[in-house]
Amino acid sequence: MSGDAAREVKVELAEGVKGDIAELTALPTDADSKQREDVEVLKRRIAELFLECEDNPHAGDLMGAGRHSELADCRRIRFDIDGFKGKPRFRLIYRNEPSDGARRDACGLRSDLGLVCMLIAKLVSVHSEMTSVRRKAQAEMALRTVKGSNEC
Amino acid sequence: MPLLPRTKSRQLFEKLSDLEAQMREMRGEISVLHDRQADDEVEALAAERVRSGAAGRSEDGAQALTDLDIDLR
Repeated sequence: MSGDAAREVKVELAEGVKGDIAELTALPTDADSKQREDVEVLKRRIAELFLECEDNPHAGDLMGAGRHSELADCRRIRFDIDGFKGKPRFRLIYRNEPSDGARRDACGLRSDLGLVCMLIAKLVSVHSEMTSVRRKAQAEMALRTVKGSNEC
Repeated sequence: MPLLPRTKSRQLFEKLSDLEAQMREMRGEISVLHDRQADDEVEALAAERVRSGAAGRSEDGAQALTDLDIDLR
């Protein structure tokens, strides 16, 4: 969905989310060019997500009744920068107000959403597939070494 | 002359293959656990923000991103 109607949805950041994003995009003083590039790509991804939420506030997965009843009508997006191999390391949780657009129009699109409130944008400690790939390579090397010594 | 008899070598090779398969399975399980742990971590923080009223004290998103040098164009 796109168009003027979509832009009527305003995206706000809950207290603390700006800090989350600042933390995610902060560069160490001795950052190398790769780190700088990654942060720029992440910034672009965050901007894309922001615009996606404006265009389609139902883009994230509805969290439903889980461990935290407060988040039942919230939505979650797991994301990462393009080219990252592995499970997404970042999470964005947001809430559509009022109540995830309880009333919808005939096209199934929200007609009464006024606000997307982002609750959190965080980097979380997700196991990196890259580590798995490295370990697999090491294991294969060990296997080849065993095979090789056996053939002597 | 081989260091190990052929049968022993095959047994050893099979054992290694089994171990490798077990490792793969464990890595998959660990990966799922990490993913779930990550979700739990952010959910707890988000729920805390709702409870504490931080979600009600919101600011304009576009302006906040501009402040952070994130271009929305």
